[in-house]
Amino acid sequence: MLIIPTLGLLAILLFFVNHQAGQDSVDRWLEMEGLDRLGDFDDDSYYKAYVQKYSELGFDKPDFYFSVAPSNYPKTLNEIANPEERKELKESLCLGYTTEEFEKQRHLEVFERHPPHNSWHAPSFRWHGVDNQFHQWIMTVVRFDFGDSVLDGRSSVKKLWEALPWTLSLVIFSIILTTLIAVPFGIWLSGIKSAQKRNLIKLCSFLVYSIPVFWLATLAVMFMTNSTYGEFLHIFPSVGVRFRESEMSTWAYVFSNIDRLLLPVICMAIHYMAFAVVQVESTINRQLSEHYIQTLRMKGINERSIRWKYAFRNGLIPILTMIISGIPSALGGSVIIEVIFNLPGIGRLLFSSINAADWNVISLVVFMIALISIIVYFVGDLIYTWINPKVRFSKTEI
Amino acid sequence: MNRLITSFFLFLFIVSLGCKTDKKVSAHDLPIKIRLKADPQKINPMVYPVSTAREIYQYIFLSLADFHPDDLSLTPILIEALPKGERITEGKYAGGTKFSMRFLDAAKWSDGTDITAADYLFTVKTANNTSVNAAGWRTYLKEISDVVLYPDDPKKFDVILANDYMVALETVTTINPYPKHIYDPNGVMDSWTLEELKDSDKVSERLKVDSSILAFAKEFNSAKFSRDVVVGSGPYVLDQWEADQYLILKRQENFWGDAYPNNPFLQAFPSSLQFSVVPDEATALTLLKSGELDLVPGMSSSSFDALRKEDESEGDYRFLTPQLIRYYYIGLNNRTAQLSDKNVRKALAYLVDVERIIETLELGIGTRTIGHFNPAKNYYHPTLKPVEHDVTKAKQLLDNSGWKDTNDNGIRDKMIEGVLYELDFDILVSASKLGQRVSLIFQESAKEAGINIELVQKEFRLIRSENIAKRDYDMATLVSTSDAAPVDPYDKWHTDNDVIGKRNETGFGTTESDEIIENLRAETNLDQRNIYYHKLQEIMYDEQPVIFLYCPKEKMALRSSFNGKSSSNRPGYLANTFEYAPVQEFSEN
Repeated sequence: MLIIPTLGLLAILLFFVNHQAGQDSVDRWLEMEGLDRLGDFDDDSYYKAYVQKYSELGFDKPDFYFSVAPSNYPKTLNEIANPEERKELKESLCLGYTTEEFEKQRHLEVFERHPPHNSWHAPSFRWHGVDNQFHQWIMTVVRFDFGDSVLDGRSSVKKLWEALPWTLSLVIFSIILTTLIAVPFGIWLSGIKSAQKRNLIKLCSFLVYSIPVFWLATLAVMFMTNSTYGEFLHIFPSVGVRFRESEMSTWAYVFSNIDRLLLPVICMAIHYMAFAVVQVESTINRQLSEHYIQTLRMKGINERSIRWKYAFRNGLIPILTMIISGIPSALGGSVIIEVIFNLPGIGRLLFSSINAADWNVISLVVFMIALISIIVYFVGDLIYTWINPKVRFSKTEI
Repeated sequence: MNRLITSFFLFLFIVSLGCKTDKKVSAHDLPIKIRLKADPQKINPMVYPVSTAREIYQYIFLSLADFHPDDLSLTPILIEALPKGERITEGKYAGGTKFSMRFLDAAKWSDGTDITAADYLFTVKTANNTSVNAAGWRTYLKEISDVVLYPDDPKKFDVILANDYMVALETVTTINPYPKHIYDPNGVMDSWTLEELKDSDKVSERLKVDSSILAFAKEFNSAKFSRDVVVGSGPYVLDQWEADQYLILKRQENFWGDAYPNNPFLQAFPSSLQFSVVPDEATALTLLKSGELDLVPGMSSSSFDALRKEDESEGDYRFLTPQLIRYYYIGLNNRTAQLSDKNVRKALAYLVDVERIIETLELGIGTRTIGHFNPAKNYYHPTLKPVEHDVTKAKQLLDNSGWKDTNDNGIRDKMIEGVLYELDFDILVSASKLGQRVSLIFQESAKEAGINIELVQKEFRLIRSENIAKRDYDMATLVSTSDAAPVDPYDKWHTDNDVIGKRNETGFGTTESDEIIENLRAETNLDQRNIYYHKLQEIMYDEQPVIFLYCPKEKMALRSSFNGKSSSNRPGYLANTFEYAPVQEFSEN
């Protein structure tokens, strides 16, 4: 039940971050149409185009359903398209002028203007109804239609659906690989009797964990995807993806490039694997110090069975938590891998959208990552109840 | 332990699945593979005229004329010849100028239909439809008053301008016409005249009864006409496009331009142009080395130099460095008390070691410039020499102008109208590493002469909108980019534009320079116009309104099995001219 309020709050946050971003969105749109504020066009032409675009994009509407402002403020300052004029008016309003007084004196320099005697105005509540920017935006979110991409005019949702399979493939395969290697390795590590040996292996794990992913990925690309440094190193295919054969669905296209996903998956997995090994080892050791393990030993059950059948099963919840929490982190961390390996996933989509200030796509991608994270944690909770029937949702949680 | 060994072999097995499965590139494959830094997003020159898109659409949408890669001369492509401007002496447009042109008989769209004058008229009308996202084109074409068709010759037409101006010929000939029958199959724009479209009152009036142009504009702006339907007159057609991954342009079969093999814009040597979107430069270079790319343009100086050194003995690549029509400069606000002094500005010019900047930051790949006009242009001043780095001369100028350190704080100062001014400046720099490094070198040198410069980092867009536009700055590291058309200095250097919101951001201008600019703009004789250009450069050289640094060069690596043209015109190369050829001597433009 907390999913909806969480997503709602996220939506509000995204709207206001978008709104307060340091760039003028109208300038950005016009720049893409070839009209630059300081380009080869005179101010009048630019201003006309600016006002038209400002209105088209709905920026002349109030920000939210209501506003609280001193009574000398107009209904909304957004009606003034020119940002300079808007700023000047706001400064005057702060000094206590009304809009009419500002209009009469605006031709004067600031120091020539006469402030009114009574320059304090009580705050007043203004209701704007549903004709506001936030309402328009939230309706698009509810319909899961985040608008068109500012860059290419295509639906943001369509762009996301094309990119998602790549990232999901990367994340799922890296989590599977991590689990397949880290879990047995961690259990094996916990069985090493020599503390020195165990600590040495853990130290190696920490060293691997501390290697930055971007550096590892760059080295892997440089050395292992071409023969420049020796044919023997050219183990993996080139980066990027192959051309698509006609009539191929997106998932079929992803799987036709499965070989090209292997090295990025390994780079992503290695980093998390190093961390996971130590966590698994520590979890198993904690279990092995429990009383029931001593009972099992006294019963004559062999050590391997104790580790795999009893300690592992009882330590599954923290291990599962670690694996599940790796998914959202891998989603966010896919940006670097996708840029370096030239994969068209949501990480790279986010990267290019941020560079281009394409807020519709940025909002959608952030929203989607949050949604996936929430779903993943929810599924994790369900799995806990299945693994350990003693775990139940309390009434307060539901 | 057994499980561990099993897991290890399982891992090796998985790895072996990923072993290189790439096909070797056959020597007889004729496509050329080119790196793109970013996806072009839209292929529609009117709606999205940005450089990343131009790199693609220049092969699909030809213009009537374009600037030849060898000498930047305006060269006809779709038309029989460049028109001469004729003065109109009578009639509705008396006092204006007419350009008469005719499309080549052979010129066709990629679907085989003829290119006609009606297509040109449609293009101009569409640009003037205020609901079409073509603010740039609309302003660029605002001087076109009318396009007159000839009923007995569908290929012939006249373009009427109410006022002639110096780049009128370039304006009317360098636009990319659109096929009317594809982009407006219902003939919506036919019922509107150009005069109506340019009159906002008439448009508002008519929209009350006929809103069809709104629907037309919505469709024209949409992804349909930017991605799905892309029809032009060029040698290549869009074959495949995976967003953010690659684009393939396929050579047209039986292309009409094959009849003009000497026109570089109509050549089509590669069977296809395969553009791969590779944002990361290190990845792009790896792909170049592995054979997945043939051309990597826009390289950084360090990568270019490293690859060049690496390739010295191999000879696998050609290294192209066409001159870009761009220059870097340090903008100075001539309106401040300190920088209004010409000697201070000249002293600052002497303090910038531009040679050292080119050597260290561009690894020697760059050309000094003495002013606003590119050295590649034929009106660049032939005798003026770039300002040399000379701290002694700088100090002398400052001493002569009365700037001395009277308060012993290491910074020169001077009393002006009762107020003590110090040579203490903030220089605005963006996140660009080049700008930051230039400023650091400048700062170091300026200190020797008793000038203090502090770096202030800010996002470039904000520098322009909050500081430059409002004239609220001392100095800023900036870049000026133009194209191959003759430069009109009016916007940037005439005192008419020395107001907030207009483009004379430095405050430069004298009566003499204003007069020269006005004469230059009105002059139709090219030789006389060049004389005006030279005079203006002499004044700017003397005034040093900004510190002109250098013109960068494009840096590209091309596989040596290809041979073709590079160009000063963006993007710096013409991929359609790249011919598969054995390694031989290659002369750059």
